[in-house]
Order: sequence, then C-alpha cells, then structure tokens
Amino acid sequence: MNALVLARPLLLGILAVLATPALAERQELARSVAMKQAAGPDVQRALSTLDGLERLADPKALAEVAGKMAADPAMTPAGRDRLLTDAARRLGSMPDSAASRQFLEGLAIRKSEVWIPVEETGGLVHIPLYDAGAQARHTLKTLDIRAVARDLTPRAARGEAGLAVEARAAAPGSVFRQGLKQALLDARATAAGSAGPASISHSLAALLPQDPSLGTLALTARDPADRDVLAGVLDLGDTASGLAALPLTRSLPSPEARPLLEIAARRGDIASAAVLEAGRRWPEDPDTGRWLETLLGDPGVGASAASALARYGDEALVTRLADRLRGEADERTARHLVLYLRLADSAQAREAINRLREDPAVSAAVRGELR
Amino acid sequence: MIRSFARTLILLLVADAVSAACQFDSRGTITNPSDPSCRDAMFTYTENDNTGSRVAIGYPVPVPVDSLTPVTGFRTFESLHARHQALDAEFDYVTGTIVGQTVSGRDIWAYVIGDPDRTTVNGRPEPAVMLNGGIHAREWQSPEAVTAVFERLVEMAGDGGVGSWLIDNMTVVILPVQNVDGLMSTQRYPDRVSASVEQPREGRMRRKNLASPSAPGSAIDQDLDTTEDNFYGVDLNRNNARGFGMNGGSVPNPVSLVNRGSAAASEPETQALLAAAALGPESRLRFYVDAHSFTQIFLAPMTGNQRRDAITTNLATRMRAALNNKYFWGPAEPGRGGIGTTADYFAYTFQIPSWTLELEPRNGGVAYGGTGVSHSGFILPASEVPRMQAEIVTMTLPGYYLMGGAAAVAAAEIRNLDTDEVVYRGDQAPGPAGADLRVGINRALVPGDRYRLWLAFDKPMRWLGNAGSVVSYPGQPGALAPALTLEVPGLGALDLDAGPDAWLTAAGGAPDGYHRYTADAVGVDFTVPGNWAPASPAAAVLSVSTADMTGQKLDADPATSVDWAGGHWSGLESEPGVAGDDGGPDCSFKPFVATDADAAAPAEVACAAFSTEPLPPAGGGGSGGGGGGGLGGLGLLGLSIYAWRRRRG
Repeated sequence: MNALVLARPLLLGILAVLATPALAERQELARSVAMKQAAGPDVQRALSTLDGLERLADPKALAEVAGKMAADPAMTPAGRDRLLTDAARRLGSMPDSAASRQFLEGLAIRKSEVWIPVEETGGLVHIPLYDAGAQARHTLKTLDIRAVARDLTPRAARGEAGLAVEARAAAPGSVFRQGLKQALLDARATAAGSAGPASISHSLAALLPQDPSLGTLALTARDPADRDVLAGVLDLGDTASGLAALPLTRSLPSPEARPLLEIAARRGDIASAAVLEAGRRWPEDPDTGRWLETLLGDPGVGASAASALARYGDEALVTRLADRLRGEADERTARHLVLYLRLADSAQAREAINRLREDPAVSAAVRGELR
Repeated sequence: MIRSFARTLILLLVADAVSAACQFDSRGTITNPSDPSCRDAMFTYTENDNTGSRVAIGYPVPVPVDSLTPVTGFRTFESLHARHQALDAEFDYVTGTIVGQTVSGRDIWAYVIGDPDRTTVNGRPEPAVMLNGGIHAREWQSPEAVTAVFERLVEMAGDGGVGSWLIDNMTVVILPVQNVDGLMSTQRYPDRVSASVEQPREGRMRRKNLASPSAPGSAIDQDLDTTEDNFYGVDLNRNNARGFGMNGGSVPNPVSLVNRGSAAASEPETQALLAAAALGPESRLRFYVDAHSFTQIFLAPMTGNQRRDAITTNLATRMRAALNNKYFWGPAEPGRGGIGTTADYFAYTFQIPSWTLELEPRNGGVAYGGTGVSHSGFILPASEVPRMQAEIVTMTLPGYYLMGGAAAVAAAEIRNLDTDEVVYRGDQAPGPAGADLRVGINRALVPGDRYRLWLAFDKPMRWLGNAGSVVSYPGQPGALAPALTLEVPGLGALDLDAGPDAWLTAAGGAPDGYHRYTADAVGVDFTVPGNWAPASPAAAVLSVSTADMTGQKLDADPATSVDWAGGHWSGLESEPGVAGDDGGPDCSFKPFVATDADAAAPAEVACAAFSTEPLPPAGGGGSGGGGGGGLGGLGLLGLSIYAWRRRRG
C-alpha cells in the first residue's frame, strides 16, 4: 500500500508524458472537425468525470484520471487536447499538491496536437484549438502565487512593514509581488487583518520614489478612505498604477479630488487621463470647470481639457467659449476652443461653428479648422 | 459508500451542463444560435481565475482608458476620436472629414495628412497612400496602431527630413476606426463574451458591424445581455466588391463570423471606406493597408499583374525587414480573385500594393505568457501596446517613403576649392510631366585642382538617428555613403569617395547645406587626377549610383517624372529610354576635364553606368576627403565591365 502511494506521483508523471505527444504529428483541422472531435461522447464523459473530481477537491485523483483518459488510444487528438487543457485548468482551482504539480510539469512542455485555421487568414495561419501546455504553465504559476499568498497573508494582516521592502526587492510582475497582492486582498477581507494592509500601503508609498512600480501594490493595500497613499501613487507611481489611481478619486469630494488630479495632470504619462477624469465632475464643481478652462492653452493637455469640457453639453459653456474664441489672440488656445466646439457636438455648438467660420475676428487659419 | 454515491450523483448532475454548448458547421458557423445553452452562455475573462464561467487569459485583461495621448494600454474610442480631432484642429496639414455613418448612425471620420496644396514640391499631383483601422471590432490593436502612425506622421512633420518630405509630397489617408459601432460595443464589455469559449461572440469578441438581418439598414442593440441578436452583423471585411461572395471566403448567414451581407458594399461602413479612398483621390492611390489582428502576417492579394505583384512583394520585403522579418509574408495565389476583403478591393480595383496586415501575436496570447485560451490573440496585454505601436510605425514609414516614388537628382554644383569659383552648375527644372535639365555653368575641371561637388536629390536619401547623424534605417539594405563616380572616357573613372558624413544635415544649400530636406544632398571634395591631362577637352559624366534609404535606385531619367499607372511605376527608368520598376544610376550632369580652365565644353558622352564596356581606372590624382588620391569602388568595378558604348555625341 505504502509502495503504491509512493509510486503514484511517478505513475502520474509517466501518464502525463504518455499523454504528451512531443513527437506526435500536428494536425491542422477545420474548426468544425476539430470541435466535433473535441466534443465527442467520450470527451464529454471525461469532462464530466473531471468536473466531479474537482467538486470532490481531489487533485491527485483528477490528475491521475486525466492522465489515464488521455492515454486511452481511443481518445481523439482534439479530445485529448481539450481534456488535458481542462484538467490543467481545474487543477488551478484545487488544493495544491505534489501530484498535481508533477502532472502539470509534465504537461507544461506539451505541444497541442490539433490546430485550427484563424478565420481571417484563409487557412494560412493555424492556432491550437486547446493548448494544454500553456494552461499547465499558467496553473503552475497560479499555484505558486497562491502558495506565496498563503505564507504572506498573516504577515499582511499584521501590517509588517518589512513586506514593502521585500516587495521592492522582487521584480515587477514576479510571483512574489503577485502573491503579496493576493495576500493583501485576503488580509483586507478579514476584519482582523484590515488594518495591516493599510499600514503596509504607507510603507509601499514611501518607497515609490525609488520604485514607482510599487504603486499597484500600494493601491491594493490602501484603505479606501486613505487620501495620502492615493496622492503618492498619482504623483510617483508608474503609469499603470497612476492610471488605476485616477478613478479612485471619484469617491472623494471635489475639493479633495481636484488637488490630486492637478498633481496627476503635471505628469506627462497620465496628464491627459487626469484631465479627462476631471471632466467627469466639472458640471457639479465649478472650480474644476474653471481649472479646465485655464488649461485650454496648455500645449500638453489643452486638447484634453477641451475634450473634458465637451463631455457635457453645457449651453452656457458653449456660449462662453465661443465668445472667448472670437477674441482669443493665442492661436493654440483658439485651436483648442475650436476642438471644444467640434467635440461638444450640440446644435448650439454647430451654430457657433457656422457663425465663427464667417467671423473676421477669428484668424483665417483658425477659421479653416471650424468644420 | 456514501462518498462513492455522492461522486456518482455529482457526475450525473454535471453531465448535462458540460455537454450543452454551441455547435458548428463545416464553415465554423454556429448551428444552434437559438439554443439557450449556446445563445445565453456568458463568460468573463480574468487574469488568473478559471472558476465557473470565468476564463483566465494569464495576464491582466485590458480595460480601455480615457486619454488622448498614448498610454500603456488601449484608449477608449471616445479618446481616440478626440485625439484625432485634436490633431486635426491643431495642425493645418491634418484635415478630418466625415466619410459616412455607421449602421447605428455614428459618424465615421477619415483624416488626410499632408499639406493642403496636394501637389509635390515639384508641382505634380501627390501620390496617396491609405491606412484603414478598426474594421473588426475586437481587434483593438488596429486603431491603436493606426493612430500611432497618425501621431508619428504629425510628430515628424516638422523634422526637416523624411517627415517633412512626406507632408509636402504625399497624401496619407487614414481611417482610424471603420467599425465605430463595433469597437464601442466591445469596449463596453472589455472582459465579457457570450456563446462559447472556443468561438466567443459579442461583448469583447464582437467582430462584425451591428447590422440586423431583420430590416435593411437597421441595427441590433449593443446590450450583451439581450442575447437574441448577439450573433448578428456583417463582416465588413467580406462586404467589398472584388471577390464578394467568391472563393469560399464568406457565407450569407447573419450568424456567421464571415457573413458577407446582402450585396457588395451593402454596409454603410463599407461605403464610408470608399468615400475615404476618394479623399486620396482614388486615382492617386498607390498603397493600401488594412490593419487587423492577429497572426502577425501580411495577407496580400496577388492580382496576377506581374509587375504589380513584384512591386508588392518588394515593398513587403522592405517593410518586414524593418522589424527583422518578425512579420510573415502571406501572398495569395496569383489571380485567385479575392474574397471580398478591403485589401482585395484596392488590389484588384486600383492595381496597387495592398494587404491585410495582421498584427501580432502569431499564435495567441500564449506569446505573452498567457493561457493560450482560444481567441486570446485578440487581447494584447496593455503593457505591450507601446512597443507594438512603435514597431508598426517603424515598419510603416519605409513603406510610405518607398511608395512616394524613386528619387531623382535635382541639382549639382562643382566648386573649385582653391578659388571658390563655381565651375559647374546644373539643375533639373521641374515641369508637369518631368524635369528639364538646365546647365547654367560648365567650365573645365582642371587636372590637379581640388573641387567640391554638391549634389542634391528630390527627396531625403538617408535617415537621421536620434543624435542627428545619418544612420541606416532598420533592416534596409545598401551603404550609407553616396556612390558617385566621375567618368571620363579615355582617361578613367574617379570614384568620389565619401563617407556617410557627406550627407548634409544643415540648412543652406550649396556647397555645404542640404537642398530642401535634411540628407537630400551630399557634399564631396575631390581632386582631379594630375595625370589626367587630355590634349583636348575631355567630356565627363557624373555617374550617381546612390540608392535611397530603402535601397531603391534612382530614376535614371528625370525628364519623365515617376508616377504610378496600370499597376506599376511609370516614368521610372533604369537608363534613359528603358522603363521599368527598378530604377538605375543617374548620369544627367556632364562636366568636362581640360588642362585649360577656359577651354570650351566638348560634345557630351554617354554614361558608362548604362553600358557594359570597362573604363580604365584613374591613373593618378585622387578623390575624397578633401582631395586625396586613390581609386574608388567603381574604378575597380570597371574591370568587370566589358563594353563601352558612346551615345549622344
């Protein structure tokens, strides 16, 4: 009995290898043929079995059964591709185990047996209908992430500042960072641990000058009501975290949000996005509207300001900005005012465009853009 | 026992759920669209979560961002449109036009990039190229790639070099988003799809327009959760006149991904594309690209017009080389006739290079560490967007440059370096059909004297790197240095040796500045060999074998201007009177050598570069770098040339 238990992982590995057609001919089949193969009664029965084993949370059994079924000579190649892909996918949702990892590692180098044409290419280019190898590699990664998250969640719940330092030492996109992100989410989900991530968010924000890529983690750890970390990410986080931070300002009242958006608007990479974010709230916040109007002459974000102001068809604004265009001496500003009128796309704006197109008070070059 | 029973029960319960799914016919069309198990099935893309109806793609699922400027990711349609409108409003050389409306009534815009006069600096009608984007809704890369080209052309417009030349001399028509309805529909549901994991539909994976089969011109809704109409729409890339309904590329079934529609150009979006082409206008079009994703390949119709097909192949070769052949080449069988794609339409109708550009990846999202789940190739990770854009720009620019036409020499001046006297000055005065050679000064080149040749072309000949110096354009062939020879029959051939620095990048014209654009002129110092001492004035020829930055040879006879007609170049000669598509050397400028500086010019001679007879190498004196000695490449090359043929005079 013990010998069988010990031999089982090995057996699974062998089965996985047997199911790995490293030397098998790649078949290029019509989608319908491939899908018919992949949806045969034997495959349906196999998938049902795997579904049941997943529900029973038995990864060892699932890996073993999948390996056995895939090695069945009666199984079609497309059915085998589908079955193994499905098994690899399900193992990512199940408890980690040495057996499932061994199975997945065997699958990870597997090439798909059945490829189908991409619709657009008229049969010139084929892609796998199912890619068990890619799915296995991904599942192994998610198992690693979950393992890291499991280890780090207690530390995240305790608010260990050292986690921020460790995160900085890890590469962006690394398993450690992804695991820590999950740990922060898991810790926040428990009442007992919710304060810990918030504390870590400040440690992470403090490291942003040295490593802007920590911004995403800082946002994850942040208390939703925490304005300082948000400000830090908008100022110093990388582009991805800066963009992710902008919508978070929507929960803040305008007087608190506007200074944050102004910070972001000074950054070239997210300036336009920040100005457009401000455009969401200007009708209820006259100060934001005035700020946007001051940006119309800005070479970097003037066009974005025009677009932000045009978001809402405000008749009073159309009138005011059309009048401003008439007397505008600065050509860049004037062109952005034209852009505003074009994007406003209201009857009133169109009327203003038609009127100003004939107005000699507007420069000829700018009139040429009033279309 | 209890556990075993439970297991069996579970297996029985799930059996039905697993078996219910979309069914497909031999063309990949769903055959049970009304079956709730197919029609109403919904899936959500996630990064890592594969539970239930969630489908992990293995990297963050991109969500479109509101930003006019490029971001690390995809912009919303509204932002892309505002960006295009901003470029239109800000720059006089961008002109936006509404070219039609979608089936839902949204405006479709096209933009012309180029100076307003629509004529080249030589006063001839400009050639036009066209770039279409966003015809298939789910291919989000396409509008971003097309917009990147748009943005780069505007950014380069004032560079004084290739960018300025493009603005001055070409018309670029860009239709950034043809299928506006579809793109907006996909962006409304950036992570949701319906129907089937293997052939996901609607939501993020809508491909077609929103045409409803219920009544011509009517549109379906854009609500993913009202599933009755989710499969409908017309594939706009099967709705075009050439090859419509032919060659098995489409089906007349509103459920199909390749539903061709009721008739060629039945869809308003297709009609908008034709209206955009008219901005070129069509008669001036020389190149068309329709940007799609994925599979990383140029899918090129081959019309059977051999010259056109060869030019198309060469053009693709040059463009693909710019990315080290990362993109594959997929020519169709010559004369196959098309399947109703836009590329078919432009290739067959106008006999111009035309293709469907399928952007990366080759096989699917697995290329980015993804799970490889079906159709993930349509979902480029946000982090890859800036790189993809930069690559497409890099690949596109040499294509536009090349299709602007072969370069021709524009002017030459030879100046005595000791006396600063101009001894030769000629130019090609542009006329409507070609240039007239005008020679204002032609005095003797005296053996032993040092000279500076300034030679100008009618387009920038080299690319400038970030440091402002001449560099090779990625993947393009040929030497950076100009290839110039002074041929003197009876005396020899003097290679005017010069390095890449001979290309002039400062303003000012002759003798030290460029002509109209940076690197459109060279300045080369040379010494006429002292042992060239003809008893009587000896006619010479300045032979210019320099190719442009893509390896394209010169128009050997500027008297007939280069244009496009009948699927090939017109007015492009490999030597005077010999038309073709390759080009050749230029021998327009014909100075002479005499020991007496005041000697009269002799009768002109023909150019050895057009003949096969060898010229003897220069016997002495020298060339290059301020007038040193030595033989150049053409002198050595002359050893293999075996026939010297005199032509005029």
